[in-house]
Amino acid sequence: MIAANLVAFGRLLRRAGLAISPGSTELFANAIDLIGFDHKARVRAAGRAIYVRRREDRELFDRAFGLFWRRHGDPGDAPILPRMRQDRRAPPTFPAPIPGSDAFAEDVSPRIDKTLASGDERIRHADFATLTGPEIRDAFAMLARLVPQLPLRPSRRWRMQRRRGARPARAWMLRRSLRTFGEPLQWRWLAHPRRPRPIVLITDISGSMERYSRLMLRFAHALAQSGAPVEVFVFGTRLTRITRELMVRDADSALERVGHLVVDWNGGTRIGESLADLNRRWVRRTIRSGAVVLIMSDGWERGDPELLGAEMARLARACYRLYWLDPLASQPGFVPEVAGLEAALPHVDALLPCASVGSLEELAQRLIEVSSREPRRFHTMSGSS
Amino acid sequence: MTPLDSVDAVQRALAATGYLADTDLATALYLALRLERPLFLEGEAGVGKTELARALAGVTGAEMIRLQCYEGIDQATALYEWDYPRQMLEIRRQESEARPTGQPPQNIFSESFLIERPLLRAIRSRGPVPPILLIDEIDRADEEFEAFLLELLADFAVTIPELGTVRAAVRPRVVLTSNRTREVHDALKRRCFYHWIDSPTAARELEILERRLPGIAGKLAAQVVAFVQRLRATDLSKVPGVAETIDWAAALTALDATELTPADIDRTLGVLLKYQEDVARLKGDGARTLFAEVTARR
Repeated sequence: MIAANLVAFGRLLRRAGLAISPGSTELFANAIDLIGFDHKARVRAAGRAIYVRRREDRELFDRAFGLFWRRHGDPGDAPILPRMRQDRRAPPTFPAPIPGSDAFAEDVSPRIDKTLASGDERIRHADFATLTGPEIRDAFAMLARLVPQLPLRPSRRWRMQRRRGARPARAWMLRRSLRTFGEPLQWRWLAHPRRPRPIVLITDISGSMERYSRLMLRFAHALAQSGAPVEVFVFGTRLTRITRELMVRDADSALERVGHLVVDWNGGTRIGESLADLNRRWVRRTIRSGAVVLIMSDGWERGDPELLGAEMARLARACYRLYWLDPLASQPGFVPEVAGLEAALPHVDALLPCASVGSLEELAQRLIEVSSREPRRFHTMSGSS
Repeated sequence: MTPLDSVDAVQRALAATGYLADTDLATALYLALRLERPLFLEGEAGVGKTELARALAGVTGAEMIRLQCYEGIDQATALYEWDYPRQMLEIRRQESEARPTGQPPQNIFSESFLIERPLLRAIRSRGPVPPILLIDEIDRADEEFEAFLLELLADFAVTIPELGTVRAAVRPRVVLTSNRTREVHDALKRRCFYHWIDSPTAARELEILERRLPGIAGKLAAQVVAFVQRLRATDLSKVPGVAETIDWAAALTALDATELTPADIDRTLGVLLKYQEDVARLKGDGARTLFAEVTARR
């Protein structure tokens, strides 16, 4: 009877969204054998130790456990299963996706098979805000085919190679030399293999950026799908991490998920506070190992530009390269005189344009150059497109 | 050695060594010991993750073997390595003895040239008490190492080509810790009992403090804890852990303080806060305000 209840509990947890592995239920049963059913706190602690693998999941687990324990009553009691089934129709109120704005509802899925002809180049280089519905679709299709050249960094590991490397592979050569009476005839080298650098994309989705944030999210999705180690955040008045949502292969459904997750579409902007949140909560977890950080925003800051400057300075210290992407930067005669942008610019490595598909494609191609010996912190305008 | 045959027994035995574990942690640890699975501890720095492994070693009287992870850690530094310079010398020595037979050098890959690293040491432990293997800050190692570890933790056996397979006679008790600078793979966590260590409640923190610093003035201890607890609720880059509380209280005691004063707080803030931004924010007025809040409450 207990076993059946535990299986039902496992199902409940899975429905609640916890990653349950097949062995968990059995392990939980073993644990309960050991500690008994007398103390609720201990049974819950055992369940936490087995089913929870992230701190965030603990609350979810506790709620499910509360439900389970209440229904469970006496361990010999049978009716838990049917009642659990009722729950299936009306699942407990776990953080449900809040139906957000329909920012993406108007998106028609990109038809990749459609042959893109002469209009292509125009669409590629046109300011995204000027494109019409079908052209937007084509633009998205172009982005979906993006093949980024990822920036690399040396790993701290050693790998053996024939080519000359940083130091000789002594252990290997010694072993080989035994065949030749202790004389090393063959050379091998050790070197640090290169790995893709983490890329962190932070996109402004406030009202003033509406036209461009859609393009940027497609870009983020394409980047995530290319296998690059990316982290993606969006912000308007608050910061939301959307990395997990973008891992879904289909761009439309990925962005639909993002739409449900994010609550501050097309509102105001608090860049400083959003970056402060990033610096406090996420920097040590996601911006590690020399990340390249891309912030896309027009710099229209409703909050305090001074805070923005301070947080930019901190972010700049934590990452390898910090770039600011501004859709307006490609316009002729552009001068960065928005207060937020002025506060941010002293801390960025470059200000880049990002208004068109072409400029994003070029960005994706040039990410690899980040690894080269370009000087850090030149705060001039760069980028040609 | 105390038999660790119930949650209560685990809790009591740890308390006897000065480590105060709450029910959740004691339950997770008890299950890990009884069901022979690693215990995976996550939490902010300074909440006592590493300390638990030490306490556990103290309780069981076992040897504690610690593997500190870092980016780029590999088998050679974690498991075993051959002593290359000595092997070279040995080859030269055998050569100089001018063996007329023209035989290749002998016994170069033998036990005496093996350098044992923490993981191999844990596997080769003779017991009878299972050693405590502490794999510290696994989040700093890269994913390849994680995969290797996963394999090792599954059967505690390792094959050294020249010497054969070594299998653990007694299964080490494993404690893994992570500061969560990145998400550790689910596959690894799945094999473990997981526990997130929260910051302690005020009462528990006071208890911990008084156990760790028996000489501390009662008033100072209470104020220190109240202040730190209040500090944790503020928006800091790095909130102080229990370790910082203890260090801070020790620093204040060393300054002969018997109660908290704004001047002393200012002088010693660096012990408590590890980021310049945080120190700058709290120095002077910030700390004074918090101090006033804390003292007003009692």
